[in-house]
Amino acid sequence: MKNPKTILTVALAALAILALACTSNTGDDIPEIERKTHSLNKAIMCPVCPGESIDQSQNPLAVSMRGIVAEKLADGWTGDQIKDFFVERYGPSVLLEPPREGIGLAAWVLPPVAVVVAIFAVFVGLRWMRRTTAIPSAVTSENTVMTLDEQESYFRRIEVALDLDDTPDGPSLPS
Amino acid sequence: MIVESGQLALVLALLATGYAVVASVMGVARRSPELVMSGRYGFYSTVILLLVATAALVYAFVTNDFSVRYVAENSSLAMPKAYTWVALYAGNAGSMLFLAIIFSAFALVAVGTIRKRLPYTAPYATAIMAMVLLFLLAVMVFLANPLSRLDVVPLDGQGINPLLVHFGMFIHPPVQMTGLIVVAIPFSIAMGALLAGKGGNDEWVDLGRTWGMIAWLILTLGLLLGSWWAYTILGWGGYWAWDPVENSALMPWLAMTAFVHSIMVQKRRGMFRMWNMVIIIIGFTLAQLGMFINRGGPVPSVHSFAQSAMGWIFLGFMAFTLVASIAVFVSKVDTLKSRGRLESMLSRESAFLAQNIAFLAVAFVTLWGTVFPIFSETASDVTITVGQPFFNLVNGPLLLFIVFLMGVGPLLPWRRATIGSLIRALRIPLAAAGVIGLIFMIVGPRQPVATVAFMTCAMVLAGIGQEWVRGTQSRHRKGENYAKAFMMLLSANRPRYGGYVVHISIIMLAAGAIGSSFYSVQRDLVMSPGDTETIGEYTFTYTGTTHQSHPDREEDYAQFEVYSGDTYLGEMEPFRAVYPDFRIASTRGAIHSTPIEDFYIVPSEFSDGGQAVFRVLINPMVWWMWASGPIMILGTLLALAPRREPSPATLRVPAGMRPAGV
Amino acid sequence: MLIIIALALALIPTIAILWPFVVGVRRDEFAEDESAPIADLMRRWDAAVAGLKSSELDHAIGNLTDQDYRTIRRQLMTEAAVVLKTMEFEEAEEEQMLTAVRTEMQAVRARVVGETISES
Repeated sequence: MKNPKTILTVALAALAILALACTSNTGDDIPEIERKTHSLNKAIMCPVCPGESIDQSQNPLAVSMRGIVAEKLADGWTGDQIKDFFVERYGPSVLLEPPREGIGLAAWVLPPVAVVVAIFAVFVGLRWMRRTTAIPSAVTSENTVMTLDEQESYFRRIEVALDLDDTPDGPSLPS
Repeated sequence: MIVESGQLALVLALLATGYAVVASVMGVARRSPELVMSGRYGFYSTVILLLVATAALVYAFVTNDFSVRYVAENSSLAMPKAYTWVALYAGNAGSMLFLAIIFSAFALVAVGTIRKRLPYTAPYATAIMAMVLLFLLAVMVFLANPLSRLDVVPLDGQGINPLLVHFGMFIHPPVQMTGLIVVAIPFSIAMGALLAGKGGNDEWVDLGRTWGMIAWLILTLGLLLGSWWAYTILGWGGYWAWDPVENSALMPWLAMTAFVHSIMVQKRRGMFRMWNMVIIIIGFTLAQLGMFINRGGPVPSVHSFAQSAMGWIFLGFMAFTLVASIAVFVSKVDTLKSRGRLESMLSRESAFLAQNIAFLAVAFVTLWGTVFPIFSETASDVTITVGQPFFNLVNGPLLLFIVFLMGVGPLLPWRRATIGSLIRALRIPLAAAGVIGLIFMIVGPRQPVATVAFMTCAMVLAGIGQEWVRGTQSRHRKGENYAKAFMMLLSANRPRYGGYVVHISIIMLAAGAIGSSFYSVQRDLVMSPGDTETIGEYTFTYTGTTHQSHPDREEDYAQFEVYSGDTYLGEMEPFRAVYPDFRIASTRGAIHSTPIEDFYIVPSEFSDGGQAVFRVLINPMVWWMWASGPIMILGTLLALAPRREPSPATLRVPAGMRPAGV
Repeated sequence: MLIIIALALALIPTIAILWPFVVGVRRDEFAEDESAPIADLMRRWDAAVAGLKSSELDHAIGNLTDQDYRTIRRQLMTEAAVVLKTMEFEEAEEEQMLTAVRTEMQAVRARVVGETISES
């Protein structure tokens, strides 16, 4: 039977090779303009389809909007100019990302604030749990009378029943 | 007549469920076992009555009885009878009936398991489950009756929404809806224990954990199936768009993932008592929010095929249960003091707390993004859309942090750990992460975020592997051979190792998401019959189109011959269907899937002469996302498998040998 | 016909609801409180056993230092011993009580038999 450590190393290596194989196609052969088209399409919403980007939607309006994006990129417009173009026609809701100004700023500010609050909450919670005393039970080691011999005999019985190591000093760590 | 019987069955079910609520509560208050059992049996009888109602609806569908409004709205003469299953839950009224029958069946099993072990909690839990069922039944009987008749009988029905006509739709909505409603069961157990005054005892925790894990598993499968359906049928090459309905199903899942972890702390240490109540209340509230948004809430979504004002009634019920739960919690909060104390800031308990809060943070951010359009409109009259780019940017790092926690947490023992032992335990996992990072930086394409994400996954996998190896070796030292040691290790520590298996499946899911998000290649190509194109190592030739006419749709099938390098992969046939009655076009992509990557072709429009625009995608590692499902099921089953520990009875020493003084 | 079906349907919940009152319950489910002391002790026993097993495993793997393991093991063993002793004590008490009752019943029976004989 092979050593488990060897098995693990081999398995991890195989997974690493697999991950490499999967991510090997760089798509470098895609023209830059197509890449920009795709990323713009994913940022603009189709106004008549509920919640879909023009990249996702099959609606004729979405298709024609994709055409407009491609045309304007070919004409040399920048991504922001194209986005503004659509916002003028359909309003700010045509963009899938909230603008980083005005009311949209609220959308972006809250998540980092939530993270800070969360980190704070974890530490406060832990400190609180360290400090609070637990409710005392009716049966504790303090109020149960037991001689040392009794205790030892109980310990033996438990160790045997659970098949525990009887020495707390366990084996040294595997290298 | 059969339909009328079904309607009567619904009314009787409503009455019986109402009685179950009253009888259970009165019975436990008066300590009357007869009354409690009567309430319980009344609850059980609703399962039979709901079966009758469902059978009546199925009968109406199968006999094309268009005098029943729901049948007229959701089927047609042309619809194949097999789709009756989908039609049952395609519309509002039918989905209520579906929820009711499924929930009552699960609740029947749950009550059966609870009543023997928790006789004081069970009546309250039964009453709460009965109240949920009562709500569903009341909506059906008074507002949206699936069996109500039309005054004017149409000659043919409107037919079923074409987007539902796919194998995935046979399982995703039922599983998703089941997951959402089954969250009510651990909620009922927890609240029932609290109402019974048992919040300070942890007897309910075993069954709460079991049913929490069941609800979690069903929710996970619902989400996976939904993503798989979106990927294979919606035809845009993606599987998750942070659409409001998707988010509304994700949020309860996040809360339940937190719950199934933190409940373990209560089981082991008697801690987190208040916290677990809060989490399960949040989970159930989010599940109800999910059902509300699903039902045509105020936020527009791809899923809104069941638009109706009924959504607001769900919101009302959600508000009611939230307020009532908080009231109960506040009134009984002093029974929820901890039995144990946190011994060290660095321990598994604290890792669980961090994990819980991280999950809640993701849920909160998701909720914020989902309702922000409403907020922006009320606050400033400008509607702002919040879509994929926002959620990816904001939730991505949080989720990655959670994956990181998944790698560190299991290395922390209960009660106390030292920095030294943690660092020692992290040596190999961090080394593995470093190696992966190095390889990717040198050899792979430059994607720094993806590299960091893969490094984290490597760290987690190496950590799990290390636990398994060291555990096996420690047993091997006692004399077992490696294979037996491993099996015994799993068997003796089922919750722990079941959890490891589930974590492995999550890494599979994460890897698939990372690979396809960062390394996918997309091209939109105009091709005429006879054209050949090459992307990466795939060469594909568009050989032509065939057209098929059906009574309700026109279909265009495009044929492709595909090669990978010199190997012939076969024919691929994506198609596009147009449904003139529904004014919907649906596309079905052709997918060639391997564990390495998916090659994906989907048509978008056809012109005359067969010329068409095709979207061609190479999506790496998507296969791993779907493959994670079965592994997750296995892990959950292992974690749930009960095991008899040595009970005190087996430690019995014969009376004569007892130490003196006992 | 519809009347017959309606009556049949109505019978289902009616029979279910009335069943316990007519047939009676076999045992009083409220007799055993789920959080009776013995249940609490059992749960503490389970938690102590689980803790002993998991800390033994964590120590063998190397996640727990020797010193921490010794401390935790002592804590948990003491807890398990205390629980075990309490359970055995209560059981011994119960046995003593049962023995006392049995002795008492025998005495009563003997008295009754004696009286019956003396009467006849």
